[in-house]
Amino acid sequence: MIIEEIRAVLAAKARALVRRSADDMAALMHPDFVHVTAGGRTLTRADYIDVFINSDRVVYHSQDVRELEVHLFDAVAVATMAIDDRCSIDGREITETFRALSVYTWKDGRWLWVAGQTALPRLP
Amino acid sequence: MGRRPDGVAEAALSIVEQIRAVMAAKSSALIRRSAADITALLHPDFLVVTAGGKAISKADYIDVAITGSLIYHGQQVREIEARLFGTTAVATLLLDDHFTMDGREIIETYHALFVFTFTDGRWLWAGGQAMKPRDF
Repeated sequence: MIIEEIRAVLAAKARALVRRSADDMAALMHPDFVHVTAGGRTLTRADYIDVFINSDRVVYHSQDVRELEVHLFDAVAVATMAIDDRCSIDGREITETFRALSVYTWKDGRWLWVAGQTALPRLP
Repeated sequence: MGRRPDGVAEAALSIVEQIRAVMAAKSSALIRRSAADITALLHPDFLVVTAGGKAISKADYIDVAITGSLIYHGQQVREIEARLFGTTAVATLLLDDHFTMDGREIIETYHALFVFTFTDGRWLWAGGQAMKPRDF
């Protein structure tokens, strides 16, 4: 099932974040990857790996995904989810639940993460 | 609008302009509160996450944004960037929204990541997420 395949990609991404493996993370991402952070910054694949893997600023302790929903459009999957993050940013411990939307494309027999946005929900 | 997105050469600019046209049609439908016009722009499997963090379907979106308590006065789109993946386009953009919700007037800029799919000769809005950035 598509939802289990996407869940597996998300689990691999969480492992790459926690192990700080740039190679494993890069292998999951499309070269044209784009991500909008909860702070409103737009990141390329290289930016994302710099910020979340290579930099000392952000250190992930765990990331768990809940409430995953996936819609398929041809060879593209759009997923919504809640993400429970435990990380430190500049030495401050952060435990937050984000809402996220991620997009995946089926390429060479596997799903690649092509885009995403995370947000801390806020009512207008 | 309506050209098939094959031909990488003119794709980047062309796709941005086509997505801009869909967004302009969407804004127009919101302000005119036209359920028929917005329905025509949305994919049947549409899925969007609101700034409040709620995942909603096409019917939900129309209920909230057209027939519900949300009344749009203006919506401007800026800084569109689009990437093409087969027949799907992924766009990042800023939305300058002016609306009234439950009688409260709101003027806000939202960051959005939207997905469009090329279906039957035109781009349909398939889903996305809009949010107000937060500092950490």
